[in-house]
Amino acid sequence: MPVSPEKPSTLSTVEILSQGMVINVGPQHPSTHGVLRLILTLDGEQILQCEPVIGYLHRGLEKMMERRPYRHNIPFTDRLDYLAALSNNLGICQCIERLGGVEVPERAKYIRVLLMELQRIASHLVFLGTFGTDLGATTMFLYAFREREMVLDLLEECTGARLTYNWIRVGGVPDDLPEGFGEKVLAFVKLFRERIEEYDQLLTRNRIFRSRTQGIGVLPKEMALAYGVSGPVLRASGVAYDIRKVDPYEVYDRVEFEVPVFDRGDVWARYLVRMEELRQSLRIIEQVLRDMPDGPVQTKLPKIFKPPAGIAYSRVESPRGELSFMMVSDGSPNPVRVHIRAPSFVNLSVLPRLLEGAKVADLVAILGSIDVVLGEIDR
Amino acid sequence: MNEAVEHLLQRFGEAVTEWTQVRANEVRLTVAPSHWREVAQFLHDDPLWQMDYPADLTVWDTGTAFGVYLRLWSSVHNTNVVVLTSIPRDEPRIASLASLYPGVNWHEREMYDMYGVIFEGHPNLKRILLPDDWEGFPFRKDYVAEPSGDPLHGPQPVN
Repeated sequence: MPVSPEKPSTLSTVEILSQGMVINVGPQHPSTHGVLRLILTLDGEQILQCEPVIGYLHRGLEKMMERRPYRHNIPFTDRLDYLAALSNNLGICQCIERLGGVEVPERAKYIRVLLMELQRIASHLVFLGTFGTDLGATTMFLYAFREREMVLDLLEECTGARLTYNWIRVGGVPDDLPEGFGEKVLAFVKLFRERIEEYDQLLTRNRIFRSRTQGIGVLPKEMALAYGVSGPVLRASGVAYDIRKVDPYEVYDRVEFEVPVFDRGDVWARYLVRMEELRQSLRIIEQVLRDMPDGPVQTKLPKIFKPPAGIAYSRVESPRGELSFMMVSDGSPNPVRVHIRAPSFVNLSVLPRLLEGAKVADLVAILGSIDVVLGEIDR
Repeated sequence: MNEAVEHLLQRFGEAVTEWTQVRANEVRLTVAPSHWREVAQFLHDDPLWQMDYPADLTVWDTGTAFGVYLRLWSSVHNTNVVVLTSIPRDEPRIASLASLYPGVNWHEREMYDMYGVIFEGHPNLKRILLPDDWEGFPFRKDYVAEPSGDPLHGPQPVN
């Protein structure tokens, strides 16, 4: 606001500054990883206020699911978190299984866990690649996507698809693993252990990367709990909340692994949690392949599946956090209500608090460290 | 968890109309909508419950009423509680929990957006996923979804 000497402004300097400048980031912006719009109020380099605007990808999936029989809804879930489609498939199948009291064969449980952990590696590799690119470490993108390609090849061999798998079924999985799949996975595990060391050299021991992430976007433990954030974001703030340990599903209570927890709560800690989860996923994969029994992989279900009336929910630890499906049944072939508790939706709601007082240059690092997928936010 | 449930029943009596122990560390409660906020406050503060993590909140339409579903987790005791209530369709109002659990802020906005449920005391109750000028509440069972009308092939069947 120009101040003329004839007519002095009634506003003090502090008031002029406090109005701030409003800028829009997105909806089309490379660092928002999708169509997310942030309305920022700036005071110079500092962010005073941030308002996320979402809904650009809203397709009304929950309503569409009410109009279809239970098992027809599995392909929709591929389009929620499209970087971890198998986790979503498992979430909805578990919910239907609980509603209908369906038992899953032992071998199918092991196959599911094997695929979940491969999916987690693929998803975290996308995080590493894009996060590195966001911060200017472009090399990381090439390294991460090279290894992700190997995981996708494995998943393609098993499921026939590379992104939207649609491969978990109510009561098991549609087919057994292909011939020689275990050996291929073990070869990948061996190779990937060495490759994680390369990532450490590129990023973890990189001074520039450290100074851009350490002490940035700190989320205190109490705030993280009150906002209900989950996944690596919550565990980086010092809460050991991992559904695989807190409420074990499938065979997670029979495998040994650790849940990485850090107290710092900053961008750096969220990065470290994901790096450690990659190593733990490899441990789980080895144990699952070792212990996997033989047997059927699918429970026989009636053609028209009608679960009894009631309410059920399931929760799985997707790469982004607690993914929960809640279903209401009235005994008819279609659900009355399907609700999807998407981890990114809740994790994004804490972003305005993280950005208060942060520098504009750190916006990309903070948003990248939450690792949101807009497909499941907008549903 | 029996001790904790008894403590709750002592405090609220008739307002808790039903409760079941679903699993060893999970209880499902049905409460009167008038006591929604008080029960949540009690679950949050009471040392036997300490439900400090808002996991989920949603609404569904039974055709005759709106059901409200709240799921909480305690980081201290590793226990879960599901709180259910029912509010009339023609007067869909319930107390907001956003000041108690900031994490339900967006869930409540979404349920206002989709069902038109008014969360009383919410700091910023406006549409979140749909455009601001959208008319009606599409997740209600009586909402008529108009076919969008494909200019090449005429109106498409609704599904």
